[in-house]
Amino acid sequence: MREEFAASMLRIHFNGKDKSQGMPLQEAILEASRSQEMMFAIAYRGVEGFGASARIHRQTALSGAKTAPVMMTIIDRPEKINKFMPLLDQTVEGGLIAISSVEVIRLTKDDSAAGNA
Amino acid sequence: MLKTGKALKVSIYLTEGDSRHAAILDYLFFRGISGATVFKGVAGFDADHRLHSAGYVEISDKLPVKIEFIESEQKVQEVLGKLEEMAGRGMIEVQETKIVKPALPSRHSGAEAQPAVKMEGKAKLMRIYIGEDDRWNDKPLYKMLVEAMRANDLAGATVYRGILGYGAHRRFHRDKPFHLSHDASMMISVVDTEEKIRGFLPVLEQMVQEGLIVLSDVDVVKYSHRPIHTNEAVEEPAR
Repeated sequence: MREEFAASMLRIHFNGKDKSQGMPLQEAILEASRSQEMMFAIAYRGVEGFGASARIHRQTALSGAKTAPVMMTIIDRPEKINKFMPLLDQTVEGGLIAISSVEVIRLTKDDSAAGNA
Repeated sequence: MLKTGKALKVSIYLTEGDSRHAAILDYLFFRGISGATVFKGVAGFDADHRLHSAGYVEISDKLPVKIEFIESEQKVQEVLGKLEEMAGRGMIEVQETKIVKPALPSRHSGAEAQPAVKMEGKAKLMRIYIGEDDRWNDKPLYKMLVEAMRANDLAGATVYRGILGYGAHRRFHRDKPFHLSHDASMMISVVDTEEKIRGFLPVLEQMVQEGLIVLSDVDVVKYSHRPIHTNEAVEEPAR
């Protein structure tokens, strides 16, 4: 099945060792995003970067990948994204959240499409 | 899509063993050619006058293979250069032909590849989200998408592997330490002019069974590539 619509894309930048209530932040955001049935979420690990603290974060042999920057992308219809913002705000304590308007083409296999929109 | 009237019929003659026909067929598909057929001969001889046949005793892997497709003259001219390169020692024949009745696709598509243009200023950024295990014709989909983009002269593509995420299925992908999991979410990003990106969409939508295609506006500030000089050292990365 093919759907085409205007959507919003959230990008959340933070550090790999950031936590929210004891949980790694990327997992906490993913849980929050799933609980709100957001359409799509993905996290990437960066190689090196710096954030609000202006401290350079990179992976080292000792820290492993844990201290590298993480970027998460969440995509859904604009109204769903707006509704999600308060919860996201609560979950993310330190970090950067950017939002942009995008055009989405969503392709789903026909058998799984029923009642899953 | 092909219309009734004048067109060109292209025949490419190859031998089976070198498996070039599979690569050529992929290329024709990526370029949005209306249709192509691969014929397998039962016997024949090549430019070296070596006879190849399928005997009962010996199974030959060098049987003649012929790929045939019919397209508009413009489209044939666009792909012919690359086909000559891909056919290796094989022969390519172009014949004028007349389409009496075009084949009708089940779904309308407006695939028209555009020639490469210099790109700066307003452009489109396309992100494609698929699973790492997704396949197209038994090959990893993300790799084949990059191949397809290359065949269409898109300006460049980058593949990213996600560490965590869920997609169209709401399946949970989690990258386990030491790469125990092989079904991560993948993202391919590509930037090109709106025409080129939209021209590529019909092929893309045929290849991606399940996934998300996200388009956004961007301004390209610089786009250049290193000139290829075989006897010159590479000096600095262009971007």
